[in-house]
Amino acid sequence: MHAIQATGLTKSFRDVHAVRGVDLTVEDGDVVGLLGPNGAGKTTTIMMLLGITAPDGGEVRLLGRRLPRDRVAALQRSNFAATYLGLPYRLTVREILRVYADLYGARRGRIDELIGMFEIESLAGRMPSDLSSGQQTLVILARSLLNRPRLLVLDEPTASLDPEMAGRVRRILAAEHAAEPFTILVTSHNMADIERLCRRVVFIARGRVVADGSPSGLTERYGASDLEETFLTIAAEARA
Amino acid sequence: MNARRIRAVFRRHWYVIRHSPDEVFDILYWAFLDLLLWGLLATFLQRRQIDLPVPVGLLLGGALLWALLWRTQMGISTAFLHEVWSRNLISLLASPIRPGEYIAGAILWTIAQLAVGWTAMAVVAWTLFRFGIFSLGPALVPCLAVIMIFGVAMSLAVLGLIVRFGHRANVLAWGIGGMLMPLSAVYYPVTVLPGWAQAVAQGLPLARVFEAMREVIAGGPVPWDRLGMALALDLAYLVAAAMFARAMFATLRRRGYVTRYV
Repeated sequence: MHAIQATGLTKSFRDVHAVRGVDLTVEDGDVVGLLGPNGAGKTTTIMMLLGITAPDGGEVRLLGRRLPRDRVAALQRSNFAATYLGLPYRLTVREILRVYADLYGARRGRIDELIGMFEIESLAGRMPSDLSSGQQTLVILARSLLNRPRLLVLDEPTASLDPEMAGRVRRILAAEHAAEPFTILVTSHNMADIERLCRRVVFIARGRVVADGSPSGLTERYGASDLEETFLTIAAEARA
Repeated sequence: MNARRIRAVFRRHWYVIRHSPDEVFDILYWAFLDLLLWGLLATFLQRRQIDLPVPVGLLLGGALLWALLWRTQMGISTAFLHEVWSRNLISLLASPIRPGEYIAGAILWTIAQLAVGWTAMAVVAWTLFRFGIFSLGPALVPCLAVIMIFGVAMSLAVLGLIVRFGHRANVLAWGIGGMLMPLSAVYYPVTVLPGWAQAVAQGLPLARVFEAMREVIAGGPVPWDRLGMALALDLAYLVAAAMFARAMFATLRRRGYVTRYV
């Protein structure tokens, strides 16, 4: 089964064509990086994949469910984390996790598991306003694993994290994935993160998929020394 | 409808209140202030033996029923505004909750707030001014129902406007009730209004409920026809408001306004 099957996605905002016919298929259990320069259409594509924004054209199936018709069934088994998401204020971290456990139908014991796994015991009784942006990101990431998602979409998950915290997140994701494989679609400007996590990367530029393959395969195809150089080459080609 | 997701919404707002004494103050303060002002004015009129038809009941009944409308509308609107203010909307949109489940949770939360806050007001009205809301007799239940349903309809309209226009529409959460108050004839008969305004008032279930309240407090029979018409109007407003909110929500998804909440 495909975890994500998107065909011909298009989206325009007034006269700006943000996404121009993106086809994206992700196999169940795969870990895929969605890369591209700022304004390439990554976040708009993610918003359409999650049913948050309706595409102007094209079709999305998540975990075999067609959006928007089967949105609830698809999202019940998916989850999403991004650094730009907020946390409800005037709730403690534990209360936030409790609310989202109810929203996703997760079991209560999972909250303590995640608090332990992310080493955020000292934050559990604190409110988001008392947390640093990095600590808030950790809570958002912990929240995204509450329902043991079959599909996890991460938009810049480690952007506000220091190297130690980012490493902790990568280890947790790898351990969870090894214990029970699930699909991860991740965007990041940190190429080291992508190389460590992803078996496949999809490059988007100017709203179109311009390259698709394994990190090493694409690096070789573009005659680059690493993924960062590959990124710079593709971005320069897209600008030209 | 999933009961656990509805409970999640209820629980989320309960947690906010538990940590926010200032919100409790906000819920009770304005309503109690209204009650005290109208109660004291009515007491003054009574002591001066100014000939008005049962001024205490008339004014306090109006204040109590208006507070019910205000709290119903504000309870649901501010529940949604909390999601906007804390940038939690995208997380909700990415979750499996249905809009109807969110609204149901917010309505239940509002009813819980009313059960405490509005009951306290009714007790104060009796303790300080000897006005019992039960003097409305069998008209009490339909009056409360019409007012609460209209409050839900108003909050759905506000929610639709916030979804469509973003933070700019916040002010409507507080202002929309005030705009309707003069036309709703809360403290005076509809006949006091100018002709054109009377015609508008006839189209509002609120004016019919407040007229019914005054008739019953003055000792007349329960005007079931008036209350029935108010309920019919109410349901029409509720359906229209739900359709409006749904259309605005579809516009949010279609035009990608969700980036406003990042």
